[in-house]
Amino acid sequence: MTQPKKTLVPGLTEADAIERAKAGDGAAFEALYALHKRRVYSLCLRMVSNTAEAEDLAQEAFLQLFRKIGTFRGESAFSTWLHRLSVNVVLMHLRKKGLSEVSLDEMMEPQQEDGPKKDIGARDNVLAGSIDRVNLERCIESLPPGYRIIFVLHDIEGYEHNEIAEMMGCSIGNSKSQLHKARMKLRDLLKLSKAEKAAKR
Amino acid sequence: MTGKEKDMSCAEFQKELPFMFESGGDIQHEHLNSCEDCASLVRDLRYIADQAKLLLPMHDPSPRVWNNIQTSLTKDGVIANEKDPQRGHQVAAQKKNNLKLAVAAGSAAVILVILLSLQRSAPAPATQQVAASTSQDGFTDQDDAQLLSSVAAQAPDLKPVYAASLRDVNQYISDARASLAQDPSDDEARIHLRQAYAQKAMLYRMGTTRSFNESSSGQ
Repeated sequence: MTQPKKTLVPGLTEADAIERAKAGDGAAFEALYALHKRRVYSLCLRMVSNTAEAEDLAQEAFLQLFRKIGTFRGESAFSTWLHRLSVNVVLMHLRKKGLSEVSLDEMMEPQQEDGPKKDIGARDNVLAGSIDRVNLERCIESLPPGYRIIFVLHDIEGYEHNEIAEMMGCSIGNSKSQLHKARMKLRDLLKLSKAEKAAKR
Repeated sequence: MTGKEKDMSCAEFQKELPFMFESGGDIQHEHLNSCEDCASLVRDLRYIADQAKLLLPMHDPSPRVWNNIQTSLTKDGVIANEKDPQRGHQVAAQKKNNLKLAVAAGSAAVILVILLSLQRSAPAPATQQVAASTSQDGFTDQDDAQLLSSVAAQAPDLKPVYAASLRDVNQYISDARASLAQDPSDDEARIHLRQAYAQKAMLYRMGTTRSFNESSSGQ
């Protein structure tokens, strides 16, 4: 939850905690972890859709951050630094995994049968006003990995296309195109889910 | 508007759509005035993007994660081994606060346990009734208003933050309840409901902590 002044515990601000963590204070590390764990873990979970993997990645992100905390100079927000680092940890993991399981091309360009259908000439029910967040989370989880990553980074985490392109090693145009396909696929999934719910009634 | 835009086919329009979206603002295009299918598509995609922005980080890692981090950092010498007297002071202060917090968090936990156990055993219509009554017995609009006025009294600048957070978490609870009401065997919706209540309990805890701390610091 957002706290403008970022008071971690009584008498301890985030800036204090960072300084104390630099001196090796275990309580300060714990306080920083407590403040950011939910967002970092949720980011990892949304990107990989696997709780065990997400926990390992969150752990790795915090470990990398805490080991480098002595180099933090405060020019950028601590949370920005942490979240960028977390995204990089996840992307690195996915690239490594891609060598044996999923090719990078496939990660960026999911198989055709996974992709969204063209909407030319379609005239069906609209979504506006009908999405609940539980269902949206569920549909995001079932997106193909390449679509899911771009969607999470742009639409949920708020990264710009130039940042995503840099992180993913692709062009800005590719990032825009993938995001569009991800939203189209989500639209298909949400409509399917809506139809299934209607049929159950 | 150009004649070229007007004469565009749906295929041509949808090919350019990804790049129109990202230029920001509403999409103004002549094709949309004459094609309800593409206009509906644009509305849906905008709606999905808007809804995604409202999703909250809802999941907490297991305690195992922190234990592993702590062990690794201690082993690497990043965390100093000697006892920090200030840490002991903070832990004591936190424990003292926890007595106050237990009321809000405890009531949330009780509501949650009752709600979940009844949802597991009761048929669907009864579940809906239970959810509704729990809403009245648990966190009510009045409780939220009290929390907000308490926050506003102590730290007026934080009130909008708390108000937005309460609105979001209440919406999550409402969505999860609606999903459970439709399908009582939906375990995922149950998990979301539990997490939403935990998040709301945390909000209350933060609000109560802030008030308690600031009132004690003023003594």
